[in-house]
Amino acid sequence: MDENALIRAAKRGDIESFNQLVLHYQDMAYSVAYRMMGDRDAAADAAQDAFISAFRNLRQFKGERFKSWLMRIVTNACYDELRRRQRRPTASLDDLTGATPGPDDLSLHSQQENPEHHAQRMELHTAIQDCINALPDDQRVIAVLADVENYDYQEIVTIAGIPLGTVKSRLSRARARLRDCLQAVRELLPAEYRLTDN
Amino acid sequence: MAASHNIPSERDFELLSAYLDGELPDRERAALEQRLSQDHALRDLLDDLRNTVALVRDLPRLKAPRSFTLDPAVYGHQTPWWERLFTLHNALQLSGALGAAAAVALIAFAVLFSSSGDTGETKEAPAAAMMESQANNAEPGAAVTVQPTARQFPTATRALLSTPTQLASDESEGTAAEEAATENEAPMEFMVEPGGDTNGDTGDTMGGMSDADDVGETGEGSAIAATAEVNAAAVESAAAPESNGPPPAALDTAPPSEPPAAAQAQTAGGLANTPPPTPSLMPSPLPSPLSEPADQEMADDGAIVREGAESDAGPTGDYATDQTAAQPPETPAPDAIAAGETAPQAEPSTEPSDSEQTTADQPAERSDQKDAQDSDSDNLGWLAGVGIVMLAVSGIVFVAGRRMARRA
Repeated sequence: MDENALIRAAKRGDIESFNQLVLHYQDMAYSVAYRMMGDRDAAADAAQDAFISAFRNLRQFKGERFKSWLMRIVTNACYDELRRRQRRPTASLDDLTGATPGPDDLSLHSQQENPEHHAQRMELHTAIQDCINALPDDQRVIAVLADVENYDYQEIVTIAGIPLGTVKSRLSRARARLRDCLQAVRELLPAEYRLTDN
Repeated sequence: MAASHNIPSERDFELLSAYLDGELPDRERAALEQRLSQDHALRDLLDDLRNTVALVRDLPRLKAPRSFTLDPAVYGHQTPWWERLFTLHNALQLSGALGAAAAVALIAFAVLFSSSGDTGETKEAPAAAMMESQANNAEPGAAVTVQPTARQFPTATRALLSTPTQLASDESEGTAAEEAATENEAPMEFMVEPGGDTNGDTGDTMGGMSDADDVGETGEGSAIAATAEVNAAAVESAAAPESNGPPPAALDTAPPSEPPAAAQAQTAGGLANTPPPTPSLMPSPLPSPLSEPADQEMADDGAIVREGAESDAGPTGDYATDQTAAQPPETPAPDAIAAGETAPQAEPSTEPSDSEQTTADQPAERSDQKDAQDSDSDNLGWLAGVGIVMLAVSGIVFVAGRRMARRA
């Protein structure tokens, strides 16, 4: 996939070219949105809004890294959705059913994994996601970008639009909170990841 | 570095976090590594942070539950910003706002001009009331509603009997008329015979007095003619309401007291069936129903006096005499003679003089102006109503546009 060619074609209004970009980045966009929001429906809405917004504002893309540019749009869409939900809190279907991302949602799960291990892994992922969800919004966004999506600090500065020092401080505080949170569920953690007691 | 051995500070977390990511400057990284080699607790903390980051990074990338590709039918053509500006919800909001502004302007216009119109109407209210009073008097059943004052009564009498030069002395004229009233009962009896017995005491007095005044100086025939003429003039003036006089003229007009038909009948009947008025009753300021329209005209405009005076020799007098003599059995009521039947006959009998022309024109103009004002106020009220409806519709459109925008 020639990303730059697709971008140029999409800038000219070629929706098919843009849709190829969408297909390439939609898992990432949805995953980031889900990690930031902890709700599948809200994450899907935010991801869809982000792609629509990206297409409408594609002319503003000046040739920097498309993934970072798109991630910034996804992050902003998540912020908007979070603000909207704060204004009008709604009961998530996930909260009501206790649903977590099922096997169909996970692209990296091993097909050879036995059900017990799979259940333990899913439980661990749920615990980690709960700890992420417990973070304040500003710290959660930085933690997801840095630790889930593995962006470097400069990219996070670009995506989040905040100074480098703020990124560092928010990330350190987020990690400290996550550590404390995961210590509470240490029995779920694999042996190699056991945390020390406070 | 103020890191204690057991309680890491926030700064320690920040250094360790940046150290894990390889984002720490060389000098700070060296200093931190120096501390880590000496501080076991700091090393444990670094391990915890490393494990935490590893656990989070171990989270799988989720698969999108559905495709987020855009529909070519919807997004195939990128709409320019000016087209997106005029989306349906934007257009609704814009039109709602503009409509509301226009409605407010319309209402303000209507209120502003109607209030100024009201002021004009209140200024002319007495005149308008007088015109309405006269218009009511013009109806056959309501010929006389005005009770002139004592000063007006002889003046009105003069209007019936004399030329304009005779308007000089009110009191002497009134006295002369009173005296003449006793001398001219017979013609009046003749005239009002058909009226029958529909008379009353008060009407008797009034009618006798008035008719006596009419007859006072002109004799029988001319007196009757003058009476008919005055009635015709009254009807004319009522039909074309005159408001030439200032508002106080209307204040002289008393509200309708008795059904004029009854009053007229009383007058006629009184002349026929009751004894002639005694001189003691003559100075009474109570008006004659027959002379009241003339009184009104005198109060409004002296020009009407000429009409009455000129018409003394006109055909109306003859006609009135003939008519009153010719139709004794069928005459429905004396007031019909006064207001209904004599009016159309009196019209052609009087030649419009200049003053009469102005008198006739001015009420017409006033009437036109009043009609125009009424129609203006109607239009303004209509405008205000349209404005209110427009405001409501605009508000609904604006709210609908906002809701659509929120949904979008």
